[in-house]
Amino acid sequence: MRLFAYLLLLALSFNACALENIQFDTPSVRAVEARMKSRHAELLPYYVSGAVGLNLDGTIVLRDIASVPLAARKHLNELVNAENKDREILYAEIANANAHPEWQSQIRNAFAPRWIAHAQRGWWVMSDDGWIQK
Amino acid sequence: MNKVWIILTVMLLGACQTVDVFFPQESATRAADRIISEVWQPVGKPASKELK
Repeated sequence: MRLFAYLLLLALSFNACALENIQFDTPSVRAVEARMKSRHAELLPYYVSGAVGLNLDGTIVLRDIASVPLAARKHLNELVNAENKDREILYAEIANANAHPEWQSQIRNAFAPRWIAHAQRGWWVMSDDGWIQK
Repeated sequence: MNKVWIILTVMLLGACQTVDVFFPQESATRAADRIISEVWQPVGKPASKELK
């Protein structure tokens, strides 16, 4: 009986020990994902034209405003700001979903190189040597 | 004998608490890849819901 109790305790402790997977399937994460997804359709032509580039810190940057027609500049500016705000919310919500709000900056650091890795050929991304075209 | 078990259990739990403070980097990278693929998927192509 006592041995059984010890084994149970050991099993429980192993359970607690297992390195957790990052959880990200929560309503608030899905909500921000949905916003970013619909915004992406609007941002895509600007990634392709190089007006918007991907920064090293996981944000996007207006890098060539001159290439954007005057009438579209204000809206593009708003898109970029909204996207960067949502990315920060995304990192915070993932951290919250894992009950580790202090992980937000580590999650941002995990995302930053992945955005650049997923960028399509022709998009502009920041490197240690400045802007480069993928 | 009992003491050995108790000590072992306590040591294991202690080790686990140490491990728990580490950020699961690889899992975070996988999560990033999944989310970015979903957000940037080509229009009209729903992301496949394959397992992690």
